[in-house]
Amino acid sequence: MPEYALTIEVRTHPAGASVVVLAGELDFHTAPRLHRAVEGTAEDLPLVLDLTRLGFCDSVGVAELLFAFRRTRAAGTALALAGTSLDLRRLLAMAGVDGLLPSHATVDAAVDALPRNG
Amino acid sequence: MTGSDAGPATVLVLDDNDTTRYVVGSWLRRAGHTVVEAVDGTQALALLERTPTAELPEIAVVDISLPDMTGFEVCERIKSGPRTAALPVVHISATAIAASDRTQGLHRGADAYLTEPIDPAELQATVTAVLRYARARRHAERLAARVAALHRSTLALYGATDTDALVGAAALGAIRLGAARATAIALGPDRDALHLAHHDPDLPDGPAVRLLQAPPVLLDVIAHHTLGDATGTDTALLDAEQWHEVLAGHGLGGAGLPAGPVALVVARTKPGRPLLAVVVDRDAVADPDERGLLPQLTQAGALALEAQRSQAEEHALALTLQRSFLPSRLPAVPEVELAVRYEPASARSEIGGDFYEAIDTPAGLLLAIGDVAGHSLEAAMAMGELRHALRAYAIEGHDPQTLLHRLDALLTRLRPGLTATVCLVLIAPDRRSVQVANAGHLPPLLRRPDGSTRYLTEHGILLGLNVPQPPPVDHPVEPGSTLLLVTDGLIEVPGEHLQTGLDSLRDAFAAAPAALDPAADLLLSSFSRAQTDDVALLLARLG
Repeated sequence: MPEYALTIEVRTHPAGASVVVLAGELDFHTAPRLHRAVEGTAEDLPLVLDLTRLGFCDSVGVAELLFAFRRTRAAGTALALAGTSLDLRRLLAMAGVDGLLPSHATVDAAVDALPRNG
Repeated sequence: MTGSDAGPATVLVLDDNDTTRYVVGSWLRRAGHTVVEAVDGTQALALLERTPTAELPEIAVVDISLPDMTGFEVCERIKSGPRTAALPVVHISATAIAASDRTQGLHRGADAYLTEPIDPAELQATVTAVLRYARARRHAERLAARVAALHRSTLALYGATDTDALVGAAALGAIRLGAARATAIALGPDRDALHLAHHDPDLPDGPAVRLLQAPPVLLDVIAHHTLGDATGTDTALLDAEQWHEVLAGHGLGGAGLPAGPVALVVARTKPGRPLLAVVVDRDAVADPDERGLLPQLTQAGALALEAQRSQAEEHALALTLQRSFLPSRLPAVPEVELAVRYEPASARSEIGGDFYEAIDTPAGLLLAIGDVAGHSLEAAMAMGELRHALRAYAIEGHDPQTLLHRLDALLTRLRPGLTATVCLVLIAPDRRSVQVANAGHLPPLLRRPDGSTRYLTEHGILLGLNVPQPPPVDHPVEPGSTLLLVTDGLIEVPGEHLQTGLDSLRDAFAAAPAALDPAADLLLSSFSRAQTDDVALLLARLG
């Protein structure tokens, strides 16, 4: 259960969004690090979570994705997912949160689909 | 290669001149040294080659002009051999030579240089000085290696996941610090037995580490010889008879532990806590510089044991708390038979927030299963709050959709940041229909009397986001149908697809016995194999 089973990279998309790139496993052991990474992103920018290289995500991981959702909702921005696997989409659908966490094929598509303020 | 700083040593004398070799050898013998002789480079190197490491000479006196190679070359080959690299070399030259030759010898690795005619006192003084320096260096290197070993062992102690692994790491650590064999002793988590790891690398057969158990009173006897009730570290020396008495008195007489004399090294971190003890042969603590290392290792082991123990205690506390949140018994109602199972995650994992409930209400029998995300005391607390709130609201007679809205509002307000999944199934008073309101939980499974199974998949959104729920969905059920509600700990296996888990659960449920208790046991035993999470399971058969 090594903590390094998840790598996180944060960057800013030129179109004006924070992008958090996850690779590895998102579970009880690694979720706190995603929490801190999301907290570290600019509050006034919408957020895209790139899950293309996320191999595993359990219910604790989903709870962390929902933390990102609540944070952007509270800040009046938006959240989108990119590269969500079929299995994770099933898990999100079962939890009923697939409508809250729109999923897109690529980061660019996710950024394009973000609602723009003003 | 042992001995005090200036004590006698084994000296290799290499000289092709019989007279010089004899004279130098006899001076050294007179000073108490043991002398081995060689007449040329080849013979000297062969002698070193076949001598066991422990019996190698501690110093070599080497003539410069030899028939087969120069003394410089012999010296270089000595210094480049891994076993002999630390062997100091004193060159002797029969002829008066220039200062540049002298420096060449020293540059090529020699430790001293003497020119004939040799003064016996100068030879003695040089050998003594070189020996003292070489011994001090060897000692410092060994100490540095042992300190590095102590650090490695400390990491291993903190990595140990249970008492056996911890005493194993402590015994191995003592070996790394130079003990020929070692036994580490600690009290197990249940406080009813001592765990011993005995490490003996020289044991002819069997594993190098043996794990044994002994009655806890042995640790009291060791405490009596050492710290008593005090905290800190302590070392006591026991002679063979005393140690034999300790072993024989506690069922360890024939256990194959080494007979004394031994050193008992113990540490205790907090008052009232049991000791960690490391037992080594007495000579392992003979060196005054290294004497401090074993207590440091033992202290690190005691701290790691303490960390292990407080983690276990916290887990036990949370578990007790969680158990107290779950219903102690299920309602007895007509026409519905119930069975529940609750399996906490393994002792090493964190506490989870799974719960189940069955409440007899005017609108029917309400079944609930849920899971608060996360593995923390807070998740367990939130689980208790949700369950009690559910009872209160259900007794007021609210419908399942309203119940979920109330719970969502409660969770959002009291525990912002937490999310929970809850599935409610209301069994109608006539037992001919069920109403499902599922807030993002795994779907309930329905098995019809003919054995066919299906998931009741209609669902809303999980709780904690303050989002409205869809209306519940009614399903007609036949008499003899069985419902299965589970939490995801049962089927969530890292690296395996969720759908795979759902499919195999459905198949297993279809094939499970009709009687509820055997069915519950079968499902638990066949699905919790890779279990890293809590598991709750509720079965209801309609009459």
